[in-house]
Amino acid sequence: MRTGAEYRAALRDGRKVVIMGGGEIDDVTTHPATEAVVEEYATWYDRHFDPDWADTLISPAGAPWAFVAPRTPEEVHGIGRAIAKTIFLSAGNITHTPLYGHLIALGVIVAAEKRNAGAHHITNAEAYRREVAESGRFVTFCGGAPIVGQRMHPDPANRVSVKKVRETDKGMILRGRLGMHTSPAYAEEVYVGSFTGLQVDGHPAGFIVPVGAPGVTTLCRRPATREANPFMAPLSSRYDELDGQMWLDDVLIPWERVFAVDPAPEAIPRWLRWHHLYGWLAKAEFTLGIALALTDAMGLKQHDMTVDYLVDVIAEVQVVRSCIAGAEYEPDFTASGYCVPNHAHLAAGGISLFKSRQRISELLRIIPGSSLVVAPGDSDLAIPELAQGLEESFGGGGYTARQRAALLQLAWDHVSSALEGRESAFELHASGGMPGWRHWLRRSFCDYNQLANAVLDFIDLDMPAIDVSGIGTAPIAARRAVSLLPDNPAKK
Amino acid sequence: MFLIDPGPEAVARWLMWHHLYGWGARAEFSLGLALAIADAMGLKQNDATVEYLIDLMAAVQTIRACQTAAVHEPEPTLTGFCAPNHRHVMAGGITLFKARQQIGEILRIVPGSSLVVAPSDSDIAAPGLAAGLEEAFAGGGYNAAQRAALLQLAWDHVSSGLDGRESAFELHASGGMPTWRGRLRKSFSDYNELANAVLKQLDCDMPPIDLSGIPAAPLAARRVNTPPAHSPETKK
Repeated sequence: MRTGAEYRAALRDGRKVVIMGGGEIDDVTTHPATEAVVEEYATWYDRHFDPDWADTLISPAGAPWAFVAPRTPEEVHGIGRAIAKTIFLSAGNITHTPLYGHLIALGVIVAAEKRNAGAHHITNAEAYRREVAESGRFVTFCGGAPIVGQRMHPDPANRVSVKKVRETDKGMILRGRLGMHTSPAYAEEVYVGSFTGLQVDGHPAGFIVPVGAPGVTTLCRRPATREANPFMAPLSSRYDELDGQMWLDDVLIPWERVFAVDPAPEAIPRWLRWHHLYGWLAKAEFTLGIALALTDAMGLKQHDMTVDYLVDVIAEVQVVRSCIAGAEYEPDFTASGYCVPNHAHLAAGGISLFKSRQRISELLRIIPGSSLVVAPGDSDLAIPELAQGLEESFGGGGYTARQRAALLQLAWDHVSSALEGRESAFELHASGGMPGWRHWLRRSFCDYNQLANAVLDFIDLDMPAIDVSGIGTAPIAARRAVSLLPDNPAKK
Repeated sequence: MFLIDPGPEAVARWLMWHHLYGWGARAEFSLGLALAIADAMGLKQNDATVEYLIDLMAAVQTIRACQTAAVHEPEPTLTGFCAPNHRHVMAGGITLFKARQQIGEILRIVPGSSLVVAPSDSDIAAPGLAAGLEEAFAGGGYNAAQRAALLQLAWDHVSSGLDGRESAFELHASGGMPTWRGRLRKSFSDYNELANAVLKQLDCDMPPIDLSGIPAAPLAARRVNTPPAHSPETKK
């Protein structure tokens, strides 16, 4: 495992990064928009050397769980525990880590195996995963679909994100623009999926783009609006991982980094959705943690209605924990023996959390009462003419005004800030949103015919045999098409 | 005669596991019927119908996941019996309590209004009705008797006196939603761990938090019936 310092050094690779609204930045490790998250990732690496974390992050064989290719349910469980314990530390806001990148690399192997377009594609995918595991490199994911302007190009042939400029003996030269993906400014490589429409050897292609390669420009979204003062923004001052787009201007992709992959959503995203669900759970658990802490701080532990609200949140948290546990205890196996969490259980957990996430946030806004809205900052508490009054208003019951205000500001930052808005907007798209999760359940649910024919036993007639297996095999709905309207005079 | 602990966990924790299997079976049966009817009514490619089916699948699959987790993460009793994990069972039960009415409604929706007007076998056997009912209810690989049999099965499952009894019974038999919530409250184990973990995000000394009283609180007492005060009229 590399150290945090080595990771920081790796980011000084000549990368070109532009922040929307902020211009180009020289060094992501020192720029105010990116430095804090770089430090979180550096800490992620260094945590693997901390003896207190060894039981959580290191396998019995001595390898970091982050880079283990699981073959048994126990290994899946070990990886899952490492995800759960580390993603909670950012309240679920840092959704992509090097462990996530390794899951991408595992998915590429499965996608290459499933497509089976030639042994060299599988060999290259396996070699790539090994390299990621051995180097600790941080990889992130981009689906590769065209951005809205590209989809509206007058020439249908140009409605693509990326085009092949030419091929050489070393690789293919690409030019184009890639849509939303997360943490490209902090990652070293981006896996670009088959939505580009590019082909290799006549098959859908996925490929790896080094963020620091010549011709690559990373455009990060504007940072979530936040207070600079960590007292007022304890989370958003540290955990605003920046989503981005990527422009490729004649970028060389070596052939060994181009893979013929199966485009079905099971191969790669099934690993990633496991991680996504852990992230959502961490956010929900963190919400519950704050709600519990505020119940104590506001003297509401014995208030029946408050406890009922807590039980509402506990029920949602526990359902997702149960679904993840079920997924890890009843895993599926890929053709070559990798052990992956059960997709049907994961989908059930994801759908449950999609339904409840807004309510969970509302409950945390309700529990503290209106003190949440008017809580002071630490600078207010330090003003001589306000200090005593604020202490009278917010101190008491074993808490100073500063302590109680700190908790209230933490709650506000978690569920009423721009960081919260970003998290919601991002998660509604990043893994396909509710339609995607519902469709993945549709594809992974396995008892269609068994259930339908079992109920016929209650009918004392000869009945036609039922085959509804087509429901489960329907392809994922195509990405929505944009309607190209003829130009109107106003536009001209 | 047995001297027993009066707390509700000792006996009920085994039974609630079984209750949840019962509710899960009912939900699975509803899904099975909905799938069969989607086939019989020629709706398996109808998008809205498939969306309804996915709603049912999501409920069924959540219960399955909870039960899987409960049996794989069991809790030992003092004498070494292995009991299913109560937290996972409670999470599944609460989910199903929330979903059960919707599951019933979806099965009433999926067949369309044929559910309401489906004939019986005696109607189909009546000479004056048979041909008309065959025309009205047969086709697409099903004769009228077969399609009607499925519709009657659905009606019997979710629109009958048996369905009403099942609902009334289950709202009381294992204590109803308040008790399942109360038991989750008692069996959830991370109160202090979660509350104190979030304090680590704060850059100031904070008092340690102890919320162990929340799960330790007894389940709500059975409701008390208040007899009306005797009025003069009553005395007469």
